[in-house]
Amino acid sequence: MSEDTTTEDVASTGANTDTRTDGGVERYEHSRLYRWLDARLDLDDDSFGKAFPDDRYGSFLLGEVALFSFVILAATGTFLGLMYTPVTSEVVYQGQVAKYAGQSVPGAFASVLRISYDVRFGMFVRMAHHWAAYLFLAAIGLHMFRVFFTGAYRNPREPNWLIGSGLLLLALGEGYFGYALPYDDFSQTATTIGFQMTSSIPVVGTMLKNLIFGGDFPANATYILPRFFFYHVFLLPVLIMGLIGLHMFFLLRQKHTENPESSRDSSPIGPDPDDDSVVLGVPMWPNQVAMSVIVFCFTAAIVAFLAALFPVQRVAIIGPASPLTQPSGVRPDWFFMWVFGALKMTPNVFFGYGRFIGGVLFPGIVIGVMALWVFIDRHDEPVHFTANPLDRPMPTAVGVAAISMIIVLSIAGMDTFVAETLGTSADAIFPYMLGMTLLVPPAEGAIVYYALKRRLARRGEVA
Amino acid sequence: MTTDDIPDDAVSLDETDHDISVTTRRNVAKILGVIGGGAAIGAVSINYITGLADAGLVGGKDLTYENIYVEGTHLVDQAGNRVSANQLEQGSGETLTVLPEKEGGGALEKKKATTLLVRFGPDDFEEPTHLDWTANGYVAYSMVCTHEECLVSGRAEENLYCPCHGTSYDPLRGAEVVGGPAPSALPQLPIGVSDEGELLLATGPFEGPIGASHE
Repeated sequence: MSEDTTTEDVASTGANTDTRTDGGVERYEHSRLYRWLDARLDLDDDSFGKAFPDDRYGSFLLGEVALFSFVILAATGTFLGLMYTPVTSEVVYQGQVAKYAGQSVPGAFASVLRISYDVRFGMFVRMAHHWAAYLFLAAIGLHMFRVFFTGAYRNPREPNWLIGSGLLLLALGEGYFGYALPYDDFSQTATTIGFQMTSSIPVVGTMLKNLIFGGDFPANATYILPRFFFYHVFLLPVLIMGLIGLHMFFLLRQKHTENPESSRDSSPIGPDPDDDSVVLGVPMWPNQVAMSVIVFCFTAAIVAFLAALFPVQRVAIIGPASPLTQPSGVRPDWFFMWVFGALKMTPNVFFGYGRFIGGVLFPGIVIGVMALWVFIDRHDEPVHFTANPLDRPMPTAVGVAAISMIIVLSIAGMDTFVAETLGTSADAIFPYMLGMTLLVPPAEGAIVYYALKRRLARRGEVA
Repeated sequence: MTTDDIPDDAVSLDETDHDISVTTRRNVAKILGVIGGGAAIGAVSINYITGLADAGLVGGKDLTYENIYVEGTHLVDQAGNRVSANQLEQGSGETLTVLPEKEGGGALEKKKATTLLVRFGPDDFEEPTHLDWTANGYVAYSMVCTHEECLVSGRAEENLYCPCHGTSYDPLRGAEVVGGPAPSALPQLPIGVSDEGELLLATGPFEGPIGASHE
C-alpha cells in the first residue's frame, strides 16, 4: 500500500513539474514535515486550489467574519464557562466589588461578578465574548444581505440559504440564552418576556414552554438557569458547528458565485461567460488563506478594541435578578430590538392575542419569508454569476423594505429614548411611531421598485 | 436480472414474471423498511417530546390570586416592616412596592405577590375602581403587567407605566389600560386600615388572576 502511494506521488510530482511554472508547493519538498503530511494527506490535491471569487469590495469576506467571530466566541466562552456557575440560590459575594461585598446575591450573578472583577483578564474576556456575539450576528446579517441582493441564493445554492437561515436562528437563540446567564435584573426581565411570548402561542404554547424552559419562569428559575447553560454552551454550539460544516461543504461542492464584472467582462481574452466548466478566482491555498488570516486578525482586533473600550451588560450597575424590582430602561440586545418594537407597536385590539400576533406571529412570518425566499424567488435554471441588484426590481425592493422595517421597528423599540431626547413622553409619540412603522417600509420598497423598473425600461429603450 | 439468478425450483416462472416479482418484493421491502424505520423514529420522537413536555415543572401555581392575600393580611415593605397608614402623603400620588406578610412575619418575596400601593386623595377615585376597596386615599393593585409580566415599576405623569413595552394604567380609574399593548387592567386589591387605625391590611384577595397567564 505504501509503495503504491509513493509511486503515485512521484508520478504526480513529475506531472506537476511539467505544468507548474510558479514553483508552487514543491518548494516545501525539502521539509520532512511537509513530505510526511503530503504522503498521508495528499496535499497536492485539487481541492486545496478551490477558487475564491475576485471581489474588489471585500463583501465576499463577510461570511468569514461571521466564522471567525464564532471561533472567538468559542475561545472566550471556554474561559468563561470554566468559572461561571448556573445557580440561582443566594450566596454571599466575597469579592472586590464594594457594592455587593458580604451581600447575598444569586450564585450565577456572584460568579459573573467574580469573573468580571476578581479574575485576571476576566472582564476583558467577558466583554470580548459579548462583542464577538454582536459581531457574529451583525456579520451573519450583512453576509445574508450580500447574498440576497446579489442573488447568490438562486439555483443551485438554495440549500445553503436554508442552512444559513438555520444558523441565524441558532445564533439568535444563543443570544437569548446567553443574555439570561448572568442572572442580573435585565436578563431576568428579558427571560420573562421570552417565556411569556412562548406561553402566548395558542394551542401548543404550554407544550413548547415545557419543552424549551422545562417549567415556569421565574418560579422555577432554579431549574431553568442550568438548562439555559446547557443550551448555551453545548446544544446550540454543537448544532451551529454542524451546520457551519455543512455550509462549508456545500460551498466547496458548489463553488462561489462569480462577479461577472470583475472576473470576465474586463478581460477581452477571457473564457466564454457561458462556459460553466471554467471557474475563475484566486486559489484557496495560498492566496485566500493569506486573506483569511488577515480577516481573522482584523476581526480579533476589532473585538478586542470594542471589548476594551465599550463595556456592555454592566451587571454591577444593573444589579442582581430580583422578583421585586425592575430597573428602568430595560431593553434587549440590539438584535432583538425589532421584536421588542413589534410588541410595543401592536395595539390592544386583538382580544388578548396582541402579544402573540406582535411578538411571535409577526416575527415568525418575517423569518419564515426570509428562510423560504429561495422558493418564492424561484429559478429553474442554475445561475453562477452574481446579479446587479439594480437589475432585479422586486427582490431588491423587498430587501430594502425588510431593512427599513427592521430599522423602524428598532427605533420603535427604543421609543422611550426617542421621547426623552425630544422632551416628551412615549405615549405622546406612539401614533407617530406606529405610523412610521406601518408606512415607511412599504413606501421605501415601492419607491425602489418603481425606480428600478423605470431604469430597466429606459435601458431597454436604449438597447 | 439474468436467468442465472432463477432458483432451480422456480420452474413455473418465466423470465418476465420473475423480474416483476423481484421488483415487487424489493418495493414491498422498501415500503416496509420506510414504515418500520419511520415508526421507530416517530415513536422515539413522540415519547421524547411528550416526556419532556410532561416533565415541565409547575412553579408558583400554589400561589393564586385567591390566596396571596386573604382578609387581614398585613401589607409589608420589602424589609418585612408593616406599612403604616401615614407611610405616603395623602394626595401625593406617590407609590410604594409592598408585599403580603408571611405567616410568622416577613415579606412574601414572590414576583406574583408584588403589589403597588398608591396614595391620592380619598375622593379622587372613579369607577371602575372599587371605591370601597380604597382606604384614606390608598389604592392597591397587582404590580405584574398583564402584557408580558414585567413589573409596572415606572410612572408616566399620574399613570402607572410599565417600562418594558410601554403600557400605561390609570390608577384613579381601576388601573385601566390607557395606552400601550396590555390587554387588561391590573387587578385591584381590597385594602383597609386596621382597627387601631395605624396599619394597612388586605380586606380580601385580589379581584382577579395575576399577570398574563390566566390559568
